[in-house]
Amino acid sequence: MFEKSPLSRRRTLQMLSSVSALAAMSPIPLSAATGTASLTKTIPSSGEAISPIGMGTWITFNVGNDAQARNARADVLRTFFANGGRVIDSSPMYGSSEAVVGHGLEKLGFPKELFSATKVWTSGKQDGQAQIKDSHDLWRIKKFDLLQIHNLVDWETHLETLQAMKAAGQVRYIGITTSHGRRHGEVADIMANHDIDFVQLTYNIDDRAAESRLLPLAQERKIAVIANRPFQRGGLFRRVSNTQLPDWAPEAHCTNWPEFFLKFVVSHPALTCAIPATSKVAHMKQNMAALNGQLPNSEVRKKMVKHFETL
Amino acid sequence: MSELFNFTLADMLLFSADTYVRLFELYNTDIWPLQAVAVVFSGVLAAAVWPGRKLTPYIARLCYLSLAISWLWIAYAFHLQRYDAINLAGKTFAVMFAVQGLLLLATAIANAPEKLFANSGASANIGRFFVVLGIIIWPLASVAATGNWRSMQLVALTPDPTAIATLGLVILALGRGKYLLSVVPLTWVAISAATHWALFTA
Repeated sequence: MFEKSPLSRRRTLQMLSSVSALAAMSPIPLSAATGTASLTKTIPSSGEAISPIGMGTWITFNVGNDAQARNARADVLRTFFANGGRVIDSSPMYGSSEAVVGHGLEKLGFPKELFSATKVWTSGKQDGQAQIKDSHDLWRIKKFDLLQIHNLVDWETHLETLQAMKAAGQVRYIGITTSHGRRHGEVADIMANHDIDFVQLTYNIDDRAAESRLLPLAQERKIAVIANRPFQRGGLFRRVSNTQLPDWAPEAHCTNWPEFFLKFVVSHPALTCAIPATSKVAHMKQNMAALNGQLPNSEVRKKMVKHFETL
Repeated sequence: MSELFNFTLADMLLFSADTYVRLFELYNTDIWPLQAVAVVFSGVLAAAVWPGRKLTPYIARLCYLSLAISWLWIAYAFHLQRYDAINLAGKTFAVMFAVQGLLLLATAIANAPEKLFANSGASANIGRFFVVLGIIIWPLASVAATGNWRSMQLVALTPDPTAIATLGLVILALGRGKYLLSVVPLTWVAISAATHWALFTA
């Protein structure tokens, strides 16, 4: 005779945790529907719609061969995709970051939403081509959506290579990058005189140098803009530590500081995407919340700057 | 690559403080129980530099030989196999450490052993201080800074205390060769200081 065993609370919890574990191992984010990604921007050269909050990998994804840390970054990626993220940006300059992204993508079953962006950062045509091949291997993908020339290193050589790759259908978009105000003159010259789809530059509420020349030029030349360092390497949070959002924050459609800073960046009409970097799931959720609601208009943007400058 | 000069120190840093500390934690786990050898070596070094102690040529050579092996080990097991994964300069550091290992090996074999611990007076005390810093103070400080004994940096196994202790021994030696022996340790101390500054203050 079989004894009827009631479903104890402990047993129920064990079963639930097993289901959770299975969900965590699933290649497809089960919570994809939870993200109500409503905001999109358009890549000017193609008209393709894209999520304006992407993610960077500088420092945060360079964890080497640490299996525990690699899996933790895969969880960050899972959260990113589950909340409507698409653009992941990396570089051969970021140590093991590309390999760690590749590990995470494989673990998630290579989400179809991925918009992959990396860079070439070396000198010479052959070395550049070899580095691009290595990046494909490290990401474990066959084709990048965007290849950029990192900080204009040997840009004349690589631009030729990238344009040839684009013509051959080996990459969808090409671009150049710079960071915190370096070589804006040279960047402007390339934007004005060469055929590129993207420019990546530093832009945030504290570093608005790009507003004077590069952002208007990007609009004029129909070049998409990726903003790196949207939190000024964490400096913005240090500046507002122990400070509450202003009472009028709802006017900017913001409920926390990450949203305040990110919505400021992506609300510029020339901006296509911001790429904050984080190693924490909780921070990724906060970042991706900036995809919800509306963006501040130009009047509110001015108010945001004025307020920030008083802090 | 001239563009490298456009970067600040903080820009060149590619990993977080957490990742750096975890590097030592995983390294110590992987190489266990080699730490016991390091502790024995620390004891031998402490005894060797004890004031007034007269070393036999055999022990003097053994200290340098052990130190040479330590630098070669760190070049391979730490820099090449582990640090290189997160630091683009890892291979360069491995070469630096291998060169220093070979220089120490040559010193252990070719140098007159009576010169290796012959310095005296105030400079000898400075040398002893560096040795103590490398074998005792740095390992303890590395644990105090992280709160994690698994991330302890021991002499002979990790770069910083090994470079510091080596500088101490070099100060205790006599002869012109000591200047050559101090180039890599001094360079490493400067690199490591910059790394720590960028990691924990920038």
